[in-house]
Amino acid sequence: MSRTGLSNPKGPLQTEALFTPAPYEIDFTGLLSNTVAPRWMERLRMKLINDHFADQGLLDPEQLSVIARSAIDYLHPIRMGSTMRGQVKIVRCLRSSWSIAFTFDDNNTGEVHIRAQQVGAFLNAVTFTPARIPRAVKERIEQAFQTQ
Amino acid sequence: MEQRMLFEKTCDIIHEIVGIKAEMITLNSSLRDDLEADSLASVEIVMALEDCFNIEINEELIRRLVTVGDLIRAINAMLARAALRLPDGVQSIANATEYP
Repeated sequence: MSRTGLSNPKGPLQTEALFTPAPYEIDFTGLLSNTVAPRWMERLRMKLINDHFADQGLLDPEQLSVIARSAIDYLHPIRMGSTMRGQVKIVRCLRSSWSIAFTFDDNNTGEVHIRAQQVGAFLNAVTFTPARIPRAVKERIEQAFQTQ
Repeated sequence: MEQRMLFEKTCDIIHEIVGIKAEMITLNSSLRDDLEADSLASVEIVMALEDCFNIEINEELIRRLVTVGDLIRAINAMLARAALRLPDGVQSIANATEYP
């Protein structure tokens, strides 16, 4: 598994982490497999929740945050030995879903290699019905947007 | 509530969620086919309407929503229920007498 360097959250409702490709994540072309990006994104998404909403129970079954849509732009290949800086931030928040944006850039050169966007839906995993984003979470996000 | 105002408010909310201009929306517009509102967007629209009109649209009604007209009818039904405080499952005064 890729090594993940964890750092403090950067900015309001933004999180970042360092990623280093593991040897077995390199495919036959000598480049990082495209299948790795969704896993890196998931680690960032979980870190975002833990860094900013650990007290809000967003992984509780009654208000579970799940991935509803992902779109990934692979802009440049990633090679063994690279260290990528992944960042995620909330870009839109509605009543039962939010959109979060990811970038993975080279930690040395700053060149962006991957851009992605995800829509996360909140649902009650017990009744399988849509759930509202908890009021405290929504207020925290709105407050962060206002201070940006 | 005046029906035109209700329709305009609904169109504003649809515009806010899916980005379709309000003037492109009619009562016959299909949420999915014409307005490209997927299930996520439909949920957002319903929740926004609930907040706007201080009502709760029940699951059964949500499943039957196809057009904007259906949405308006659902809001009207819920507003009427809220005004009359009808119990769940009772759609109008006509059959309200069946319930204690």
